[in-house]
Amino acid sequence: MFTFMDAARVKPALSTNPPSEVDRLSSLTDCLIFQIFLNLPTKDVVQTSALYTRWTTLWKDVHGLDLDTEDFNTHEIFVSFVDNFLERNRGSSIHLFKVTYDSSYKPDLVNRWVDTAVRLKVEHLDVSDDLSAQDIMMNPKVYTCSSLVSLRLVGMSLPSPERVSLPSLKDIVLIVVEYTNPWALEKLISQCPVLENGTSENYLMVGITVIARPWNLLSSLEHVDIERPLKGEALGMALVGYLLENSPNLKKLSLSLHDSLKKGISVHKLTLSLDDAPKKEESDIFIELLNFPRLSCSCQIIVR
Amino acid sequence: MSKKMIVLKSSEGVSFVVEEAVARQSKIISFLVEEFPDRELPLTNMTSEILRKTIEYCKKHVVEDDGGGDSSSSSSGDLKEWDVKFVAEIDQPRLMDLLMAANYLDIPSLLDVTCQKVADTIAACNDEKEIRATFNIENDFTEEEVEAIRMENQYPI
Repeated sequence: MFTFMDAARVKPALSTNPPSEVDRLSSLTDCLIFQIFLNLPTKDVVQTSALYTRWTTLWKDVHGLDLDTEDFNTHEIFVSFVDNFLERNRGSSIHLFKVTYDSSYKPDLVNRWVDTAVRLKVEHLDVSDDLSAQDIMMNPKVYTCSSLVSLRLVGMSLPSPERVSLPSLKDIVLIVVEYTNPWALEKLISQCPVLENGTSENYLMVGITVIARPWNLLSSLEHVDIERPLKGEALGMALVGYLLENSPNLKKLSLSLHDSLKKGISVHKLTLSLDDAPKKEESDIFIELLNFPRLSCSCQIIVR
Repeated sequence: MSKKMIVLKSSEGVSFVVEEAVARQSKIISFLVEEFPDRELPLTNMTSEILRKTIEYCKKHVVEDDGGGDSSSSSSGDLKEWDVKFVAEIDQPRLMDLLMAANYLDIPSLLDVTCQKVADTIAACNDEKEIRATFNIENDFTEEEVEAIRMENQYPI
């Protein structure tokens, strides 16, 4: 326990050298170094092994992985790097498992990894398929991962959630995700007590492919970022309309337009607030966006 | 109702009078305030400059509990923007001092933002030579040793 005595014993962080010439990184404890490493892509973490003798193998003890298959010359090295990470952490729990992979190479791999990550009580799971073909069906074990705090999935399919238990899940980000049943997202979200109670920490991104209606979530929703460029088709516009009409606390809805809709520079970086009247020169899609009724009067639509 | 104030003293002996709610974001100070009420708290390994910065952060992040629930003046989005600006304005040596202060005082959110900033600084470097230059790290490896470590660690390209 901390006492005044302890405080007095700690060496003052003062030095005779000018502050800019002191190497403070070397004096950090392993615990602090790991906290910094958890914020770094793994390839940068490995790079630090050539900084200090003490750090040569330190990167192997980080309970987090943030890796992109593009960082490797071959799929085989990438796969063995991930496998080695999971093997090293057997028996401990992992903080972060983040991989961007290419599903054209051994598509079953990712579900094996997710299986292991769930068993290792992963807190932050982030899996992206470079192809975004939605060919991979996510491992349903992800629905019952009680340690999970944040979940981000890109470019895959979600199975129907039969049993959901995500008591710690605060953030969910689903991009270009396909659902096997249209109510999957609603069911998933309604089973996440922390997410549902909606602290302002929640930040939801939805792909246009989302057809489900997440009733329970809307009251806590403040920011929505629609990743896939809007082409103006009925489904996409219906989603935007649905979010605007049903979210009482929505502050910001960001979207971008597909290149086929862009006629000039004027459509870039345009912010439309509620009292902006549609102008004749603006394309039809802006008029449509402005004409959606908004339940939240402070809501802005940002066109990126 | 007047707010309860406490006094924090830096390594140079400069006293800072701070609202208790602001200072209590530090778990260590929170503990000390209960153990030693009405006493000046000496923070012997924190310079005035770093203590001032830490207090600035805590003032921004304080959530006042006046019975009306969360009455923090800033939304979480604004706070995040403020945090980014806050650490962007600090030079690298002071950032490291602030990180150590956040660790010493046990202020988890300040530790998170400073660790993130240090990580971003490392990630922005192209190779370990640039990291050395940025953080003033003396090189105790030969070129061959660096190469050997690279080989051994199955370096991603």
